[in-house]
Parts: sequence; C-alpha cells; structure tokens
Amino acid sequence: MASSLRLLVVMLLIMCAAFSASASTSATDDPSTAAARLLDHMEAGRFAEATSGFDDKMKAVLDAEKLEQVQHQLEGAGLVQRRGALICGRRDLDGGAGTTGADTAVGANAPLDPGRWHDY
Amino acid sequence: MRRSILADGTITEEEQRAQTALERKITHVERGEASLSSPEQMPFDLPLAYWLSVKEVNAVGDAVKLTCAILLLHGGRDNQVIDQDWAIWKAALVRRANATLKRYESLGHLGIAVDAGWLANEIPNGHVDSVLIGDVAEWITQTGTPSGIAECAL
Repeated sequence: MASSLRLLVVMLLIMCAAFSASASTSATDDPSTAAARLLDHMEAGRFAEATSGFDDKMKAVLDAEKLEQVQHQLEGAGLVQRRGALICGRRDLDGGAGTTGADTAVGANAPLDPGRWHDY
Repeated sequence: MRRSILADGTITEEEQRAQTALERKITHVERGEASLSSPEQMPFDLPLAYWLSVKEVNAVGDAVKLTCAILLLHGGRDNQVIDQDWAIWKAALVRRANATLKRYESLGHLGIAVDAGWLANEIPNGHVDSVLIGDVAEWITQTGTPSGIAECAL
C-alpha cells in the first residue's frame, strides 16, 4: 500500500508537471516532450528554467522558489525514485453512445497498447 | 452515466437503450455470469476480471487505516467520482487531523474546468487548474515527516 501511495504521489506530480508545462510549450512541442523537459529541469535543480514558461496564473501559485521547495520535500522524503515512461494519449470519441472509442498514441514516448484502458 | 444522460434534461431512445444495456452488463458482473472471454458483455467492454478486481478494493477502508497525511481533491463536476462518492470519503476522514479534503466546484475528473453540462464521454480542453496545482504544492511543502507523506503504512 505504501509503495502504491508513493507511486500515486509521483504520478500526480508528473501529471501536474505535464499539464503545467504544456501551457508553456511551443506549437511544435508535444506534451511528452514538454513534461520531460520540465522534469529534467527539476531534477537538475534548474527551477528558474523550469518555471520560465509558466503563465501568470501558474507563477502565482507555483513560482521557482515554491517548486524548489516541493522538489526538496519530495526528495527528502525519499519519494523521488525513478521516472517512468511518459505516455500521452488521446481518444477518438466517434464511437457513439456506450462505446469507449479508440485510443491513439501521440508523442515520441507514447507506445500505447491498443487494448489498454485509459481513464480520461 | 446516468448523470451524463440527464445533463440536457431529457432521455432520448438511444440514451435509454445505452443505459438499459449498461444496467444489464452491471447485472452480469454482479452475478458473475459472463466468462472472461466475453468482455463485450461487460460494462465498457472491460473483462469480468477487471470488474471483480475493482469490487475487491475497499479504497476508503484502506485509507482509514493509513497513519500518514492524506490529501483528497474532488471536482464538483466530476462525472466519474460523483458527489455521493465524495460524501463517503468525507464521512470517513472528516475527523482525521492529518487528512485534507478540498473540493473544486467547476472542475471535472481530470482537474480541468468543465461546463456544467459536460458529458463524461467528452475530453475537456484545457490544463489542470492552477489553483489545484498550487494546493498540491502547498500541501507537499507543509506536510512534513515523520507523520507526513513519507510515513504511509498500513
């Protein structure tokens, strides 16, 4: 249970990182690339660079100093252990009522199992 | 699903058929009638083994046994973890000093703002709400050990 919760915390942070990073990406960036770059900055202690692309809303709640505190807290608690493969998916919703539609992988690090369920 | 069907205040014949079919499939799960090789008879075409595994999980009961700090976030427009679920979590953890529960009225399941009539089968556009992200960051920085996030154990 403990390991599951730790994984959950890490997953949550990655999700937040991915989405917050996506707000600062160029049009050519896919979400996986943006998320990986953000995590690279955080792991290297480059918090100013990590937050440089945040919009005003994000900077108001999570500036470089705060992000550094978060990273140090997690590292100090032993929760920063490894980075799993970044997966980004989208779903074709043209399947009609009662169907889940088909998953489509996007991004360089998005090997999706066609039979895998993605909870959107 | 029922909430999504009723979002526009009406139930079409197609929606009624979908709901009836889903209810029939739920019955299959409850009775364990379908074989593992017939996921098309299961809700959302997921195999019986998946649904049985879900039934075996008592997430609230497990959370209550934890000694570590807990942060629970809920979107008021979440069509998957609905208000009744949130009420169960609140009742279970309301007396826990190290449990923090936050609700965001305009957010959906992904923590992204959605319209009131948002349907569960629509992917919302946008980003995870910045206030929610800030709250997570604040909780992490304010939750210290040994009673904090690194001390989770049953």
